[in-house]
Amino acid sequence: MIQQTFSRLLEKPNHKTGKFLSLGYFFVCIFVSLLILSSKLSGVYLSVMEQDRTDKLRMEAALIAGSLSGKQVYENMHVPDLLPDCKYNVYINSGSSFFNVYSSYLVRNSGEPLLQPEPNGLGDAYRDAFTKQELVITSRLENELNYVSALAPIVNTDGTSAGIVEVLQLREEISYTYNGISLSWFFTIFSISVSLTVVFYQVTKLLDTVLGKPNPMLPKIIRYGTNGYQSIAFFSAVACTLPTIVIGEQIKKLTMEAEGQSHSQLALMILLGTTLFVFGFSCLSSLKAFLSRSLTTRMSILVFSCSAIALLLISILVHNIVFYFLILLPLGFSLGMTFYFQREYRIYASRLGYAEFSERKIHQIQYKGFILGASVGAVFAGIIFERFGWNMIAVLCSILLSVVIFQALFFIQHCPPTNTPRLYLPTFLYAITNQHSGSFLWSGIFPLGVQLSFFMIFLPRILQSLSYSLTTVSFYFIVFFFVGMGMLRFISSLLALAPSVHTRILLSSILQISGYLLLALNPTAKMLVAVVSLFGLAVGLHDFRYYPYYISMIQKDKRPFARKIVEAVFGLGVVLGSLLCNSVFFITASENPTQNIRFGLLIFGFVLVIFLFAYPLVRLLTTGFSNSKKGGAPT
Amino acid sequence: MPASNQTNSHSMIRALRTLTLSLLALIIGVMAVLFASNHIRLGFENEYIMGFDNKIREIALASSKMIDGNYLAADPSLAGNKYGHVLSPILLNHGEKTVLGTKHYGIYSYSNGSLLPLYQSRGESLNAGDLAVSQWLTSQGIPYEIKKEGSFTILIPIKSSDGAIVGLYEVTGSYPFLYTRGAALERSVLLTAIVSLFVGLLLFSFHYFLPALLSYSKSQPENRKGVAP
Repeated sequence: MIQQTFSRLLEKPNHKTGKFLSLGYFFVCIFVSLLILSSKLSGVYLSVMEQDRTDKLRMEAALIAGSLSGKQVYENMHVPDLLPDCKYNVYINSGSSFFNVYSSYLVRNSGEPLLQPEPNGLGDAYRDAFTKQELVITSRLENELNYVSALAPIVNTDGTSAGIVEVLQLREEISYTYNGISLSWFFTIFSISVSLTVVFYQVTKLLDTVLGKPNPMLPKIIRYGTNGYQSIAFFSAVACTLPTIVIGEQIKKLTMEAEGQSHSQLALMILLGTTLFVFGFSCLSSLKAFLSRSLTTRMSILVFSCSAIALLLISILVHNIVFYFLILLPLGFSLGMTFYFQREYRIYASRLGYAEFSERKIHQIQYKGFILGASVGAVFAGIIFERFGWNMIAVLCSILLSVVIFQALFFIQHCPPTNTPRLYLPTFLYAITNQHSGSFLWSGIFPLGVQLSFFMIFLPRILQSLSYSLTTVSFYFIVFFFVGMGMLRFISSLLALAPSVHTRILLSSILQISGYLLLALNPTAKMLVAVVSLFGLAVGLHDFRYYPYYISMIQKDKRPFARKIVEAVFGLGVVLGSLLCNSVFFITASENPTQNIRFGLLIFGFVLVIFLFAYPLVRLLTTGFSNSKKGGAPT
Repeated sequence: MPASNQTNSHSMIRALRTLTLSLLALIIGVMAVLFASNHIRLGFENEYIMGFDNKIREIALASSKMIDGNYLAADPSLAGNKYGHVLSPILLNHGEKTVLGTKHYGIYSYSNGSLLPLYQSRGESLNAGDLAVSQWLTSQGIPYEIKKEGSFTILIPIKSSDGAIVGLYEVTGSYPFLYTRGAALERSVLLTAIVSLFVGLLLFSFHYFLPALLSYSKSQPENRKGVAP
């Protein structure tokens, strides 16, 4: 057995094991390094802050002693109220003891005798302060609490000491920091470690795909397999997340640099800016389709990625709020074209008829890439924007877009544009106002768009208002991914659950509205973890089944428009979601927005209830839940 | 393509891949350390600066109550000298073992739209003389704050009993050590991280090299046995 184990150790790990081994080792190395680094740095900075706080205590003691110098020190003396929030005592000396003649915090009734000397004596520090007339820092216990005290002598006009002033502060207040090793910092370094491991994994995969041999038997579009398009999904998501997460902060920065704005005006500008960006990103699909057909899909991704790079680089040079607003819509549109390219790829590849390349499977893999990319993008956005500002975000986004261009041209060697018929407004309005299929769109597809706005627009803003850094956003994305993709799938396979689409929508609506209401009741970072978990479950229930089901609901002659309708409703969800999310802060615009954010969130929740429960209510009124079939629509 | 050439190119590709991934792992590891150390540093710096500014503000406002405006108006030079020496043990560092942020203060007399310095602990560190009077002078005598990178100044108008502004009290605190110490700390952390990540990479790579080395050394005596005389 020993020989077997030994010989096994001598074997090189196989490719798959080796990959997971290296990823696991990499994650552990990074995480442990960050933990050790955090504790070392915290120690150094904490000692600096402790010194500064004891310096403040010293100055307070000197100030009070200075105000009493030259005056007689006696019981019930009048002490000028220079520092009303300060905790201090005045002592006189009698032999080897010090008597407390005045306290700013201990309550004494009139007529009571002088406060007795401190039970354990006050030590050498107090004698030094009195006899040598030195400013001394020491510590002592009082009522089982550990205090740091600063002592200063009260000097008479003849130069002798009349007494000492003692200023006290709790040791835990001296040693307190909100930046130290806390739960939120643990989450942050966990997110950084996970995100960088994901980056390492994705780059490894990219390298393997580039250096590997494509399968010449397959059509050009799918020759590089799932790795090709998954890599594009990941890197495009990182590139698009970078500017999206920081738009609000950048508008705030530019507005404050320009001239003083009220909080309401600032909230309105952020609302306008983010809505312009998301409108360009998720809407205008007819224009995107037209450009795709005119330029070809590969050329369009090249042209629009280059235009996004150009806009980003110009925004580095022109540091102006008006210019920034002017570029938000075209920037959103250009970045949205990278996702439109992936949509074209998905549709065309799925039509080739290969089982591994069904539309649902491609969409699932792309979705995983999007979420992982968003988590990584959020980490980079938070840290880089904090240190370097918008300029480095623009540079990094440009580099990543260049990688996406390379991947798109290298891996997807042929991708003709799809020929979906143009969706006219009357058709769209008819679709969304239909009692049955229209309510399905409002309850099933529209909230997914709102969720995207929640994560990309609302989450960074609320975390900033709770004084958390933007980097923490990544932790919530990871929780969302883990719950929606990992935990839900595990539970479903364990319990062999296969709910119908109607049940999925009902459950998803309940989960979403519970999340919004929980957040409205308690808008804290800890509650956001629970809320994001609920949203992860809600969105995970979707499982890319809604679109096929919608097709089965509508008339055959309307089915060619189904995809465009669904995409348009999703885009509408993103835009209205952005408006609603930002409106919460607009309603509560004040110096401390979290005070009244509950009210804004409650309105937000009530508005969404109408959409989320539209389809379940219609079903309840028309068919009833008891007749619902298991399995739902054909996939 | 001959089999040996194929094997060679395959080995080269594997070697290139290994080298690239190792370098990438090192770069990403260093990036992680840089990200985290910078994030921590900024957070602590902001907390320190907030605490320091509050300290200067509170002490300045409290100590300004010791200055009698009537006395300042009646005899500015004597008042400046007196308060200058009274405030010295309160504000300045005397004989502390480590001095981090430094503080300086100045007392000025104000009349007919101009300031006259009466006492300055260190003239070049103070800002009141460089400001136009209109910037800090208000009818209510509200303190004026100047925030710069590495320093914080508060200007407190001194009023006489009839409410007229007769002087100005300035306290300036500066903390340039914060940035230099932070940069030095980041550099040392980065160097430590590079060394430890490199060592970690080497340790990990043993798992790949060791089997190859051991199986090579194992096969050597067998090859010698098989060699023809």
